[in-house]
Parts: sequence; structure tokens; C-alpha cells
Amino acid sequence: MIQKALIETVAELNRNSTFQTTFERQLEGTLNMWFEEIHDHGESIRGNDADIRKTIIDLSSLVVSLRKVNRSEKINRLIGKSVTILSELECALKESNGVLKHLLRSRHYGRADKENCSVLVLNPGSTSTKIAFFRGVTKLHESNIHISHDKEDSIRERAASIIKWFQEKGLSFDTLDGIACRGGFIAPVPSGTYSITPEILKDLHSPRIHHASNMAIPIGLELAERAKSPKEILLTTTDPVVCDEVDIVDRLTGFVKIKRDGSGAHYLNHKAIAKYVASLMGEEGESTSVVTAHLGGGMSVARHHQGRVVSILDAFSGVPSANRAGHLDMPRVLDAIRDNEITMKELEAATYSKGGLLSLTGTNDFRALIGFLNRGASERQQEKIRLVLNFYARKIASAIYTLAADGLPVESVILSGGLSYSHELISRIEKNIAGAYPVVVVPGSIEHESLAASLLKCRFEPEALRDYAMERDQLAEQRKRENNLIDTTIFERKILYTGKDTPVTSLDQLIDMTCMEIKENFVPITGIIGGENEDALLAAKRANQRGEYMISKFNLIGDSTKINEFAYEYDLVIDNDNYTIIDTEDPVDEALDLYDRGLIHILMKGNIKTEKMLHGVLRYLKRMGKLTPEDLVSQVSVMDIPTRNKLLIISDAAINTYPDLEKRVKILNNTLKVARSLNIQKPQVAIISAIENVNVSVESSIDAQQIADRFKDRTDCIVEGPLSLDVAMERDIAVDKGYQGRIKGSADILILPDIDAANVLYKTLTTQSKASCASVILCGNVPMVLTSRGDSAQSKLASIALAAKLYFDFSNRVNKDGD
Amino acid sequence: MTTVMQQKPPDALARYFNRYENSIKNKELFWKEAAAALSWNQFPEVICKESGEQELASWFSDGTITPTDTIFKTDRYHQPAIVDGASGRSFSYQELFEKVCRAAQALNDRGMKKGDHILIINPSCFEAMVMMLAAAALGAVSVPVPDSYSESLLHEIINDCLPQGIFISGKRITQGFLEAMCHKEEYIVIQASDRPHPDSSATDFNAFLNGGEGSGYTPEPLSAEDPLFLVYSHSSSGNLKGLIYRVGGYLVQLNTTFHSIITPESQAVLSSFSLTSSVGLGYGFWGPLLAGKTVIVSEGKGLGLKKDILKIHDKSILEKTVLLTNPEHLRQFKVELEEAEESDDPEEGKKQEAVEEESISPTGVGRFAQIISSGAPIPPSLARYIAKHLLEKEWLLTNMWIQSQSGTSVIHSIPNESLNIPGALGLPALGVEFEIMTDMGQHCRINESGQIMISGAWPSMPGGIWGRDSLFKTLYFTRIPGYFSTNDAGRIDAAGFFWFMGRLDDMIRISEHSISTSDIESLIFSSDLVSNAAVVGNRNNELTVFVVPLSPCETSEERELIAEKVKTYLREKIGDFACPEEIHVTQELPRTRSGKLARNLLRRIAARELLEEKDDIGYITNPDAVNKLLGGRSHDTESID
Repeated sequence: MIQKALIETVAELNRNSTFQTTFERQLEGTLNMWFEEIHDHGESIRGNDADIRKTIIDLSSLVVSLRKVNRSEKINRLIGKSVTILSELECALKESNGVLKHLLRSRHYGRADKENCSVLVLNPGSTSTKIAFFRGVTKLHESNIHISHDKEDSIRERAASIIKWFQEKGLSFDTLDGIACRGGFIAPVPSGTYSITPEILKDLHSPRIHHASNMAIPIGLELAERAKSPKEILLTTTDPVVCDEVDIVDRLTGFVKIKRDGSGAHYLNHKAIAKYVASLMGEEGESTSVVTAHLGGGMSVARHHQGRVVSILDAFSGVPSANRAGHLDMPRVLDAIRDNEITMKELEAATYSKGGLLSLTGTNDFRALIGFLNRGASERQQEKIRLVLNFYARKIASAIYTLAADGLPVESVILSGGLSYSHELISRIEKNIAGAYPVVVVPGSIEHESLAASLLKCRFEPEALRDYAMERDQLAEQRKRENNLIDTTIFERKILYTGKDTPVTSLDQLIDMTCMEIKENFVPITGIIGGENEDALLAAKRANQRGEYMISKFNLIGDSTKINEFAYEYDLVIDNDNYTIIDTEDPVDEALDLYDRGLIHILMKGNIKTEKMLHGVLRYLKRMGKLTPEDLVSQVSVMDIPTRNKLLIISDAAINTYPDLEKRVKILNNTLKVARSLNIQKPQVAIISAIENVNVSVESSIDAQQIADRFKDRTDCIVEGPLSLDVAMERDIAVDKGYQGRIKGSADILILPDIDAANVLYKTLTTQSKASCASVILCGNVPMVLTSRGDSAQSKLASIALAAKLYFDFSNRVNKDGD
Repeated sequence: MTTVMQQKPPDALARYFNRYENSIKNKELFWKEAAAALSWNQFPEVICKESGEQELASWFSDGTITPTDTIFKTDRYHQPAIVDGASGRSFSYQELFEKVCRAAQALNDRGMKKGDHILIINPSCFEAMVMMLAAAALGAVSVPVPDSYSESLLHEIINDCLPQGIFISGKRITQGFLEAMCHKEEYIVIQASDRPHPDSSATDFNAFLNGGEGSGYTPEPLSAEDPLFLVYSHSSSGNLKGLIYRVGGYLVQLNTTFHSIITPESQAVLSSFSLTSSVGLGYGFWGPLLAGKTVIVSEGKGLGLKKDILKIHDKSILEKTVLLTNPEHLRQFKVELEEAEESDDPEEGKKQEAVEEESISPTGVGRFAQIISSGAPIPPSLARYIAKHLLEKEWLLTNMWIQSQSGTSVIHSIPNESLNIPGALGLPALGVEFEIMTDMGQHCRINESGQIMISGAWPSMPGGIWGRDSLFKTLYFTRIPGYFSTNDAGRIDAAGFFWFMGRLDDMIRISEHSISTSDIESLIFSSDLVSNAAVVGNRNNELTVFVVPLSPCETSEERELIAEKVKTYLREKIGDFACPEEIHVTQELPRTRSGKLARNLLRRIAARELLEEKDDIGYITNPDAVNKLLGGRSHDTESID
């Protein structure tokens, strides 16, 4: 039944949609005819203001109606086009400023007209000062006063040139109602109009970035002084570039140390076109949910909701622009830097001044590029130019889609800025938006109108003026709170996902894997022999921290008085669970007794001589018949070298001084036990010598070959020797040297000839190559931890983790063998 | 070998804590009932008044008591009161009382009266004990000091307490000193009879005793707040301080704890502590006499097994005796016992067995009724060894935690299987409230270590420091207002036992003076010059002070100014020698996550030991504080030499 009803409903929908499609096609045809008429068949809009106004009224009501129609691709396109033409009509008005009308809305517009207010707008650029003069609702003058090359650029000079301009135009400062200044790099504040206060001047005095716009306010102040009663002139700044009002969710990045903020975008224009188009579309309030894109020399895209820019792609890290690269793929950047293809300096230049269109085409001028496309470019060049245009269109459209992806309504997408004049680019962007949203184009910028309108609004409605210091401090406070939230620790210890049997490639992973093993079994207990030892206790503390690591519990075996003193100093909570003090005068025997009874599982050296501990353990193993002739006490170190993608096991850097061949075979066997615990399948063992060929004068090379021979039939490991260290560690060198074996730079285990060689390698790696390391001493199947003062906290932790892992692996193997 | 104690509270422990909670909840009632165990001339109505001013509290203030009457009760007249271990000579309570009354009469005849001070040099002999009791009968205040003190120090003490009488025993006192004392008119000088100095002009004890008229003095009642004795310590803040113990509170709390600590079956106490210390005076002398037990006087200072214990004339008495000693002696016992065991070849063993059948250990010492260890925590392994060799049961070795400032034992284990764990300090004494606190004054949770603090007053607390009214409060009650700082670190386990975690002050010897770093800290704290301070010793055994100013210092001049103020203050309060070598003025002191000062780290900084990058300071909650102290010697902190 349900299915049948569903099928019928869908059929009905289809009929309706067919009907709508037909209707839309008819509507499109008619509208296009009207639009052509307005445009005077391809030309610009003509006619007197009265005619234009009439068309505006008609078109406005059409827009209002269209917005009520069920949205479809076509309807969206029609809305976009209608509003774009509506805007063109407003701009075509000669006697009054249509943009100003919409920005001021009827209630202030009437008053500005009636009171015939005079407003000067200051917008200094790097080579000129743009100024505009509004009287009533008309923009009387708009000029670009260039800086003369023979004079030093200064506030005074720029002010003087404006005074001169005033005189030329017959204007007077005495009748000025206000000066609206472009905001410079003051402290971040939410958007809005601010009166000029001492705090602003103070912040401008030491700006974050030196930029011509920083001069607007001081010039304004200087000019105001020219008037008879300077205090009656209202000085304001609106929506400076340093605006920041984005949502916290827009502040996160994929790397907690890098946080975004909302600054670095063309706020003045973004806010203005959003307000302007809202009014054009017949919105009651000033705000609407839109996405605006400023496409000028710099490009930025902003998402507006309820009068606020809730997310942003700024002019530096978002869309590529005329001379900025915009967002780049980080791994490729890193590779390029690593491979010396680019330098940090080049990267910086690409980000700020030499990237974008300039880098892709050799010009930073879109108009020149498009001009060249139509006149003079070879076919191949044309192809490239089209490719670049398509690229830009796609980047801009995808930026718009990115910001639209927040679940809030998108009433329209507004394209603005100088590049919006380019049909080549705009049509491509519209194509990519594909009617998903109405696309309104407001070419150029309405920044001056916005500055003037904002000033006028605040003149009529002083409570709309915002308090700079308060907003600045509140924002700083809010951002601080947000940072605290973003920086809140969830897992102290990074929880890294790895498969259970995959080879361990880093010490972090080793620690994680041990934690996993512990979760499945139990927390093993380490007996610190001679518990009155600062280093051992600090290592223990690292390995026993709720919320971080719980790798082991500890029995602190030794002088209870001293252990208690250390426990106090280092905050160890002696609870007879995580930490238990075992008071004894003979810590070795006590520890071995506890080990024998299964009360502790791992042994760790504390305040005791290494030999004493090892002798004790050997004696114990002999007594218990657990020591086979194959067993040897040796140290195994697992090195995590930052530049290598796998771990490296080396032995023996601590216990066996000058082992003979037999001993080195046993040392090798101990390393294989560790490799097995690290899930290294078929470990590659390099028996190291000074050379990779047997040479009678190098004894270690003869031994190495004999050791390798002993293992040649083994299928569970690859043992080769003699190998020099570089052949064992670096593939390129192995290839260069024409080494014929299987281990070409890929060694998992290095067996060094003696303690000197091993220790030098160990220390070289830890001190010079920033390697961290986990070490254990193996005696039979007893793992022992021996940390020293020189080990880092991480290394101590990893050593305990390794010992714990070995403990579990050994006992599992014994159990399995027992079965 | 070792077994880890199960910490499930058994019934006896639950019962103890039930009593303890009640004693804290109804503190006054508890101490009123405790007071009733003694015989008073006027039973006190007012139990405790905590004034909070210079005097911290007064106890039983409207009661009157005659200390000798509470000891010399007629029903114990024939029991031995004091036994000389070496000679076996014994004095019954009656004999002792007669001597005490005669001595009091003799003192009285020579013009000594209530409130006068009598200095007793080397009090660990029979005659000195008589003198102390006689002083109490008269209402005079005894001031026991060891003869190991240098003569200059003795002069200092004499100048501080201004005694009217001096009793001297012991051979270390020189003839010159003795003569000097005898020629001063303000003292009477009495000398013990058994070790006379040749040609001494001091009055011989026996002659002194027999010089008194009639059957002796009739002891008079004292007010509970009258002082009973002064105990001098010269080891703090470089200055002498004589702690005043007041009759009522001291005797009540001593009596209460003595009965709690000692097995009822034991009859005598043999103490290795000198009668110049709180332990010796309380539990080796006043306590046993109050309880009607026998005090065994021993010659030796070290109390070695062979050297001293084996010299005890009648060894059978040891089975009924409580040995009161410190872990150091017990360690010595262990060495002797082990040596004896090793040399114990079978042949000789048989011989020995034949000679002393009842002897259990190869040294020939039998078992004690009980051993009480005090002075330092006893390591559990040692406790077990000693108990195994010298006691019937492991739990008969008990521990007692006592400071001169506490007067009596306030934490101790109790001779009961469930109320004693080897190695632990013990349980809180009834009627005394404790807290374990961090240096920031936060309460520690179970097993978290911090400083042992006593909350509020307890009866045996000193009435102050002789001649220096507010010093007691400054030294011990300023850290965290309302709490007495013991300067001992400890923790309380899940079952409620206290464990010792170390001493929190370093004793630094500067010229003749021993200086306690925590006393210096307390003084700086009470100065209101800084908001925080820590004092440690550096490598050369010099004082290094770290202070946090009240408001952050901007310039090195400001820092220097504060350092100078602290120096001047210490110079004024203590003396030039206490002027620290180095003062670090810093913004914050490094602390552990639980709020303790990281003293080891400060010591390393004081020693100018450089921390390396690899040094694990992960346990510090404010590593910036460490970095500032280290890296920024030149700009963030200023070290002024």
C-alpha cells in the first residue's frame, strides 16, 4: 500500500515539476527580453532618473515575488540576474546615490537629504589617497590624489594635498558634518562604526602591520582641525581590515597549535554589499544570510549571518589572488622545501606578493590577461589562459561552497570587487555555482558609500557608535576563553590507532601497544631494586599516571626511610597498590624472592650497583634451573631515529665489553627476542664491521661472516655480515657501493663488534641525531630496566614499556609452549 | 620474607577509631575524664580555654594538684620505684618519698621556694631524680640539661633561666666550672655523692639530704598552670629556647598516653633516653612513676646489649620491663645479635645452652615485655628482626612519635596485634586532632603525603618559651593559622595509620649554632615582608633563602630592597650569623602537583647545580618557576651575594 502511494506521489511531483519547468522556461524567455530592453540591447543603461526609478520599482516587486517561488536552478539564476540588474539601475541614477539610499534605508536617507549633510571620506592607498565628498544623498566628488614623487610620504603631506583639493573644489571644512576614515591596523574588534578615541590612536601608534590605511585617522584628525569648530565634526571609522567576529568553529584548524582568527579580509566592502543587496532584495532588516566574495587585487570570501561575519576565507590563506598564492597543499610545500625546490623566502613571497596570477601567468592584471586572450595570444597560450581562468573560477566557487556549508540558509551569493567587471571570470563562476544559489554581481566596491552611510547613521543615531576599547577588550577576552577551550586536554597521552600485529615503528607506538597489552591482561609490577633512587622514582612516576600512562605499578625495594623522603618530594602516593615500599637491607635478594613468588614481574635498577643486581639475577636463574647455556646477559637498545621510518635495534652498548664470537651469537639471539616483541617480521640483522668484505686484517669482518654463516639457514630472520654501518643504514650508499646482499640500508638490528663501537653509536644517535631510545637488559627471559640520569623522561618511560611488553610476550610464549 | 599488610580495618582498629572520633568530637569531655584519673586537690571545672593570643591555650586552669601526691600513693609504698640496674639497689616508693621530702625540706631551708628554677645537669641518675621530685614537691621548676653541653652553653642557659639552685652529676663537668658556679652567691650547688670531684666546694648530695630538718617537707598543691619543668633546646633558630611544661596538662596527657602505650602487664621501664628529652622525662621517669611502675636507672649512654643490658644485675626483671629506645640502638642490637649468631658454632652453642637454658638469643639477653622505639621511624625490616629476637610477639615493638614541642607522645602504635604495623608511626593519640596538609594549606587525601599538622590545642603543649612570650606561636603556628606545624612530613594510610615521610627542615650548623631552616622560614613568614618563603641549605652548609614579594618586582633595585629587608629582619631577630648567604627574589616557588614546595630542586638551585634539559621536572606543576629561577638569574630573579 505504502509503495503504491509513494509511486503516485512521486508521479504527481514529476507532473508538477514538469509544469514548473515549462513555466520557468517561459519566465526566463520573457525576463531576458525585459533585461535586454533595460540594457538597451547590449549597451549600458540609459534614460533619465525618473524612467530608471520606474524600472527599479517594477523590478523590485518582481524580485520580491520571485523569492517566494519554489527555488530551482533556473529561479535562482533569475533572482540573481534580477538583483544584479536592479543594482546596475541604482548605480545608473544620476541625481541621487542609489547605493547610499539602500545603505541608509529610508529613515536615515530622508534625513540626510533634508539636512544636506556633508561627509568627507578618506581612503589612503600606498600610492594615492582616495577621497570622496558626499553632500546630502549625492556623491559630489570622488578623486584619487596621487602622492607627488618629490616629497616624502607623510600624514602632513597627504593632509595638505587634500586641503588643496578642497580649495580647488571650493569646499570648506567649516561646513563638514563628519569625516569617515578607512580603519587601519588597530587591534582586532568586531565590525561596526567606531568613534575615534585616544585608545584607537594609541593602538595605531604601534600597528601590527604598516599599511597606508593606518594614516586615514591621523589625516582625518588633522583635517578636522582646519574647521572653525573641530569638535562638531564627527570622526568615525567603519569595519577595518582587522575586524574579527568569526565563530569559534571557524577558528580551529587541523593542528591545535595553529588557530585562525577572522582578520585580514575586505570587511568594509563585504559588510556593505551584504547590507546593500539585502535592501535590494526587499529584506526588512539590514542583515541577511549570504556569502560575499570580494574579487579584487586580493580576494576574500565571507559568510554572513544575522549581521555578523561568522566565517571567513581571508585574503592571504584562502583563494589565490593576483599576487598571492592562497591556500597551498601543506605536504607538497613541505616536500618542496625539503627537496630544496623552494626556499622559505620564496614561499613567503608566494604567500604575500609573488604568487597567484603573477606566478601562473607573469602578470598580476586580470584585465591584461583577458585582453591578451582576445588579442595576440597563441593557441597554446589561450589554452593556458582559459585553464587559469577556470582554475580561479573553481577556487572562488569552491570557497563559496565551503563557507555555505554550515547548514544556514544562503539567500544569495554576492560577487564584488574589480574582477567582477570581467564577464570571462564571472560567467565561469556562475557556471560553477550552477544555480545552487542566486548570484548577484555588484562590480567594483561601494566602500566609500559605506563609510559615508555609516557615519551618517551614527550621526542620527549616536547609540549605534561602538566603544572601541570595550569591544577590543571583550573580543580579546572572548578569544582567550575560546583558546582555553580549544587547548583543553582530552587525552594527555595521544591515543594512536594501530593494528595489533603490525610492526612497531616508533617508541610512542611501542608505549601504546604495551598499554593495549596491559588493558587485555593486567598492570605488571616492577620492582625497583634500591628504591631510594631519584631517577628510578621519577621514571616510575612517568609510567604510573592516571589519565596518562598506566604501564606499571611499582614495588620500591630498599631503605624505607629514604624512599619515603623521595616519595614525599616527588608526590608518589604510597598506597600499597600503585606504589608499595618494601623495607629491606638486601634489596637484590628481596626483589628476586618477590619475583620468584610472582609478586613482581619486571626488575628495575635503582640505588644498586649494576653488577650486584646482575650477579643476583644470574645466581637466582641458575638456582632455579632457568639458565640455559644459550643464555647471556646483554643490553638491547631500541632507537627511534626521527629521520628513519622504522626502529633500529642495537646491541650491546652496556654489558658485554669485548664479546667473542659465541657471545655475539647470544647477543644476537637476545635482540631477536626484542624484535619479535616489536612485531618485526623477519628482522634484517647486520653484523657490523668497518667494511662490507671479509678482510683478514679486520678481525671483526671475519667474525661477522662466521656469525652470518651460522644463521644462513634461518627463515625467520636475515643475518648478513660483514656490513659497514652506512650500507646497513643507507640504501643509496648500499646501491652505490654495489652491495650484493639483501640488507641495503634496511637493517632492523645492528650487532656491533664491541662495547666501544656500540656505545659510540648509541651516544651519537641519542645526542647528535635526536634519537630517543628504550633499553632493556635481558637475562634469559627476565627483562630488566636500567635507566640512567642522561635518559630523557620519554626514554625512561619507553624502557619500562618495552620491559613490560617483553614480560607479557615471554609469559605468553611460555604458556603456549606449555600447552 | 615480607608480606604486604592487608589494610582492612579489623575490629580492634574500628573500635579505636570509634573512641578516637568521640575524643575529638567531645574533646573537653574526653580530657575531663582523663583528668579524673589523677588525684586533684581541686578538680578543674574549666578544661580548656583557647585564647589565641600569645599563650595558645590554658588547660585545667582552675584545678590544683600536688604532683608528688599523685605518685606516692600509700597503696604502692612497698613497690620498687627506682632500681639501679648495675648494682641492683632498689628504692621503694616509700623510701623514695622520704628522700624527696627531705630534699625538698633542705631546698626550702636554703631559701628555695615555689617558682624558683633549679638547673639539673645530667639528670639520668638516682639523685637527680630525687631532686626533680623534690623541686616538684616544693613547686620549684626543674631545668634538666645534659652534661654533654659545653660550658659556654651551660653559662648561656644559666643566664637565660636564672636558677636559684644547681645540681650537678656526671664527670664531664670540669672543676673550674664547678668552682665558678660555687662562688656565685645566687646559687646553691649540690653534687651527686657517687662521683665527687676532688676538692669540690659543692655540697655533697647525701650531706645535703641529711642537712634538712625533721621528717621533711609537706608537699603543697600547685595550680594546674604552674610550670613543672623547662626543657631547653639550643638547636633551633640559633637561639636557646626553654619550653615550659605546665603541671596539669602535662601530667594528665602523659598519664593518658602512658597507659595507652604500655602493656598493662609490664612492671618496669628501662630508658635509653636522657632525662633531658621529652621522651626520657615523660616515658622514662614521670610516666612510670605516675603509673606506679619501676624506673630502671641504667649507666650506659649507648645501651649496647653486651655493654649495658647484660650488666643489668637481675636479668629476670627484663621480662617484665619495657625497653624505651631509639632505632639507632636497635640497629646496634641487630649487629650484635647477628655477630653472635655467626660466631655461634655448634659446640659453643651447646655450652651456652647448658649455662643459660632460658636464654633464647645467643647473646644471652632474654625477651623484653615490650620495646618502644622513638626518635626516628623504625624501618619495618629492623622492627621485625628485633621483635623476632627480643620479643614474644611482633606487635610488642611499638613506635612513639613525640617532639619537644608536643610534650607527650601524640602519635603512637599500641601494643595490640591490630593496632600496630611495623614501620608505621602509629595511630593518632586520643584527644589530639591531626591534619596532613600541603605547604599551601590544602588537606591531603588518604596516602597523599604532606606536613603533619596538629589542629588546635592539646593539654601537654608547652605554655610558651621561657622569657620570650610570642616566639612559640611565631615558630609553630604562623604557617597555617590555627595549626601547629610539626615540620615532619607524613601520610595517613587507608586504615588510619600515620607514616613518616621525612623531616622538612634542614639543620644547618653555622659556627656554634645549629639553625633550623623551618624556623627561619617561620620567622620570615611572620614578618609580613613577603608573601612566601622557602629556606634551604646550600652545598657549603649556608642558608639560601627564596622569597616571593608581596607584589611583583619590576626592577632589580626593588628586588634588592626586599632582599635587604629580609636580611635586616633576620639579623635583628636572630643575629648576624643567621643572615643568609643568598636571597633569591622570585615570582613563584616551584611546587609539585599536590602543592608541596619542591625542596630538593631548591637545594639543587641553591647549590648552583645546573638542571639539564633532560632533567625530569614533570612532577612540578609550575615549571616556569623553575626556569625563571635557573635561566633568569640575571633578569627574572636576582641573587644577591
